[in-house]
Amino acid sequence: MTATRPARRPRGLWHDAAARLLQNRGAAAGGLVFVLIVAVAAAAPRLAPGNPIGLNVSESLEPPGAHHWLGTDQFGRDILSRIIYGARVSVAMGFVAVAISVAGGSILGLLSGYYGGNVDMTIMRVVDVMLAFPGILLALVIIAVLGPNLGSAMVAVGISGMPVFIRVVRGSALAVRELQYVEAARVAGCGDVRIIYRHVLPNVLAPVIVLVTLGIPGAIISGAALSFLGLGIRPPTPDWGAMLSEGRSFMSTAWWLSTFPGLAIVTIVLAINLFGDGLRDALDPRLKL
Amino acid sequence: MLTYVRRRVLLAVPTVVLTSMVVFLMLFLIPGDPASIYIGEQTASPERLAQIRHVMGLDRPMYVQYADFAWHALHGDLGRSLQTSRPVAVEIATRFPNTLELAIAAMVIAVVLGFGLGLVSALHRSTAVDTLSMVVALFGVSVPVFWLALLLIMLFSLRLGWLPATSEPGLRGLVLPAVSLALLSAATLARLMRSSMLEVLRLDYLTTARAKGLRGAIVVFRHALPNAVIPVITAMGLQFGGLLSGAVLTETIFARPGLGKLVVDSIQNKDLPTVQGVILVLALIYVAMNLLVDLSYAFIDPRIRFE
Amino acid sequence: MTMRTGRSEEEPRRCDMPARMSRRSFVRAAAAGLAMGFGGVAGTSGRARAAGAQGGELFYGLTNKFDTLDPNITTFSDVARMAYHIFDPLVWESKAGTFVPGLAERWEVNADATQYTFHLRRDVKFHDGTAFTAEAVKFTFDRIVDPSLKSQSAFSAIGPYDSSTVVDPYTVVVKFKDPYAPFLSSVAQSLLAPVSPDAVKKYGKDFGTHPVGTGPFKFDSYTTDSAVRMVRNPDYRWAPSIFKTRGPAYLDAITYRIIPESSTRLAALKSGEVQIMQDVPTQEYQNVQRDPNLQLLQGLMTGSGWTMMINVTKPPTDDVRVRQALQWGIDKTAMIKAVWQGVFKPASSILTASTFGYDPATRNVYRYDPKQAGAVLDEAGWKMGSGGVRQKGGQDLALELYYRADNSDFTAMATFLQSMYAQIGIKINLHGLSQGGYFSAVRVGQHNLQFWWEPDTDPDVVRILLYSKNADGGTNRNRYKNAEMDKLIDQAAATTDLAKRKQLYSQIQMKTLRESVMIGYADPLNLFAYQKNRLDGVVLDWSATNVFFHGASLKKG
Repeated sequence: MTATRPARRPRGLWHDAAARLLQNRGAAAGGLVFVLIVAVAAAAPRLAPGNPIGLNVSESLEPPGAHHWLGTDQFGRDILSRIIYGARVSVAMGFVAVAISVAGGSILGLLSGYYGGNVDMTIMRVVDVMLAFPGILLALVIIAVLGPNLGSAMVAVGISGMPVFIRVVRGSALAVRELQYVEAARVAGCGDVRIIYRHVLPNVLAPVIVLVTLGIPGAIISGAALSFLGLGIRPPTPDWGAMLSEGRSFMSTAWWLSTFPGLAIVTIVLAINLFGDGLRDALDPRLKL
Repeated sequence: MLTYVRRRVLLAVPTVVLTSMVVFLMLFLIPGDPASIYIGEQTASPERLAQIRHVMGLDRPMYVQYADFAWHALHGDLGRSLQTSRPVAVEIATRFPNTLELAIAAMVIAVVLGFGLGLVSALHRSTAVDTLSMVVALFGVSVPVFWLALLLIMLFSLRLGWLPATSEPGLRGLVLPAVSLALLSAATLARLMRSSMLEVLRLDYLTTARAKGLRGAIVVFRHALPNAVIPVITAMGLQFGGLLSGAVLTETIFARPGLGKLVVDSIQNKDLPTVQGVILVLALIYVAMNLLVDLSYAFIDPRIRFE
Repeated sequence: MTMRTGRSEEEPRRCDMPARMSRRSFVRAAAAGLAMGFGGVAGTSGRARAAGAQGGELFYGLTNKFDTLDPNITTFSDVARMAYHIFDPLVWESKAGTFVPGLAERWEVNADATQYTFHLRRDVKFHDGTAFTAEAVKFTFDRIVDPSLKSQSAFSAIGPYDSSTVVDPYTVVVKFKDPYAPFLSSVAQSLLAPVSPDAVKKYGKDFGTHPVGTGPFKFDSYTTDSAVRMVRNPDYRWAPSIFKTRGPAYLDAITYRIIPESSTRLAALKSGEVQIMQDVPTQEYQNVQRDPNLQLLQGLMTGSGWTMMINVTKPPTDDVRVRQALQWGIDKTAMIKAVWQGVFKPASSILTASTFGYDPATRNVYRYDPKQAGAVLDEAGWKMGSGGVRQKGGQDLALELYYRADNSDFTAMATFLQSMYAQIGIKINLHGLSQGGYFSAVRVGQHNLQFWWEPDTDPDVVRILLYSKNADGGTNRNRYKNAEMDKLIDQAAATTDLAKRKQLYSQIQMKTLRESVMIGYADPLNLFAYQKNRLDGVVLDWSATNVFFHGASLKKG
């Protein structure tokens, strides 16, 4: 702290929240694990003991041991290395898909909530349609249209995650719109964009942040599910869902093929969920999401 | 009340119609030609391909195909599957009970487990019981259904040989799929139930009730529970949709002939009538579930009235 | 090809036999004897039925759900397997090229194989009580060529069918537009088995869930995608001579349970939920062999096994040297170890080693030799670049491999080949697509490479793979058009002298390899397993495709 620091402002929502979050041991642990996984994903080439895509048939289906800690798959590829590289896909899937959900959901939700009327009516019908599909079906159809690969899987998961964001953002926008200071801003001649940016957005930020942290694990699982169904990423790129799927036919002869990727998915999802729970409690304990 | 129901049903009509249009349009965008998929890798002259397209009615413009579908659907005829030539209604009817059975079994497990766990947790707040329940619930929301299903098969079918891993008819064959499908919902409901219950327990009138000397159990079950349960029921409605999603995976893994599997296959095959039919049924279920949820509020909380 | 192209989108599973069955090739001479006759492979045949073992219900672990139980329409080999029990073919092929009476007591073929006369048994009744007559045969054949039926496999099998004439109630003459020697082989399949005309009229489009035939078992029930049950036909007296009994079956009933997941199917066999299963996963091959309660039934698939089609019109695979490098650059033993756990056999030709006409000399044409592969690529101007990928004129040596992502065999093969060919500097771009996308791409030749799998009982299968008429969007995805090859194929199919015929197929195989139009990777095994203490009298046919229960019985176990 230096003397030049301006006079202390009253502690804001964010400051309090951060303090609460840090006190929550579960959340801190979850956050730490997640950061670790992201770091592992980033440093995969340095960390992985072997080549995740290189063939070595003479070492195929080796059980976990000193040489290959988590064993090898049918192509003799080191499972630990594949899991380390697979973190990249999962992390990317979580972030990109949720980014798509947030971007699309926020825009549609804001439009819907702020303008109301016919705009609202139309958008909410679209949401109804999206919700009428069980989530994964929408993703399946989108992938069928775009072709099975990681990009379309991200788009598919992103789009099918949109309705929740639309609803929450719309709800907040709707509530904010009626507030006096927003009325005042409008009377004072502020444009819609400005009002949305200055007044509406900050108010929907907290629930959106919480939704994001809770949405990422969902997206990771959905992405893995799509890979599991053979509709996600293309081989040979290591991906946890695809590894699980490949390991299915070895369930009784080589358990390690499907067990470790499953554990990896559970770990990352659990970590983010822990963190997300903490974040929700810290930001607004009354949020029910 | 009846007016309310009627209005809600009317409001659902555009949703269902719009859904069917969107589905039709999207399926058209899927690359490939159903006749060509039907032929597969068999040899077929262009003339024969054209013949099959004609028999399938694919040589008509898209809007004519849709209008034809809609007209027949209005009259209760969903057409015939492009791939099996069986009536879509039959394809659905033979599988629907399986999916429903699975979804209901899973829902029952989820409700019993979820409510129980949530309630116990809330009543023993900040004790070891609470922590343990919530850790279990946290795992529940973090384990992907397809992995859980594999683990259950590995343990109970392959290792122990207690339960069949396939779509054996009857209760035995239902256990593993229903349990794997239920876990996520159970865990979600448990978490919701706990927080909702805690919130209600803090409210004034309960403090008053307790101050007036009402016994704990009465307070909880007569006063707190009905209020706490409302948001949980809303979530249940949404969970049911999630269950149908999960059914796609569960049915695939356990090879249960259900709607989930049917629709996944039909999307891949570009079997438009079948996909349309299934989505229509699912959309109707969704609408009905939402209505049921809303109506249940009135049942649980007499203060809520529908005008 | 005969992949499961459609409805059977079970989860990607490893190593299950693809479900679609082969269309019959267009012209085929009656093939010569090879492989073993009925029962020869089965291990347990001959023995007399154990006393008191009659009856009981057999449960069979089937792999795929299917389109219809109508044998004239289906495209699924699993349906054909079941249909042999509900329907009877006119004749039976006891071993390659040898035919014994079925519903037809005897038959005559005219000199140029355009006209077949069948003399039918007079004591046969359909399950619905109607008499089996020449009318039923004509009805069935006419039905197959009716476009509104959308028949596929049967439509191919019936070839250049023209018409049938009922001479008298028990004599029918079948005419063809062109000579069609393979017809006997076709009518021996359940695809062309006569259906009850009355039942077809009664059930219409729903005949597929109410099949009525003449077979040893009557259809009882079908639980969608789950099970087919059939019960003994007590009036059955017309079993072919190849089975232990000519009369009714011993079993009271058979239930075919559909269990797509191979490990679950095996678990069901081990626990006794089923007594016999097909498509033993290669992962479990050794376990099954070691299991004292289980008996493996196996045979090399006939026809063309797991192969690669190479588009000879699309650069860079229009260069024969690039195609040859793909032959020298593949370690088939390693591939089979990785993809099929070492169970299948390395292929040397486009025909499997058990197919008539297979030439063992094909083994000497290529062997795994990455140096040689590199040498021809160098010679073709593809020099090793810095990134481990060969280049010419600034362009990478990249090949586009298209496959269906919903089949785990394809995915595993593609994964393996990508790494394998990377070792000789060829980059394989993988395009795993849904079937719609896949067909749209390969029919117009966007691919350099794509997989193929084609079971058949006759070497004329090469027509499907290499004939120029099948090249434009058809099954010849090599897009290979070669007048000399066409001539060889036609000649071979029209030759009745077996030695001469064999020699022609040898030329065809050698020419294919020299020009490297296709690569044979693996000769698959068809794998069945059953509980040897429970089941007796199972018969596996000579092509290792179908198991028959006409004379089977269950023992108290």
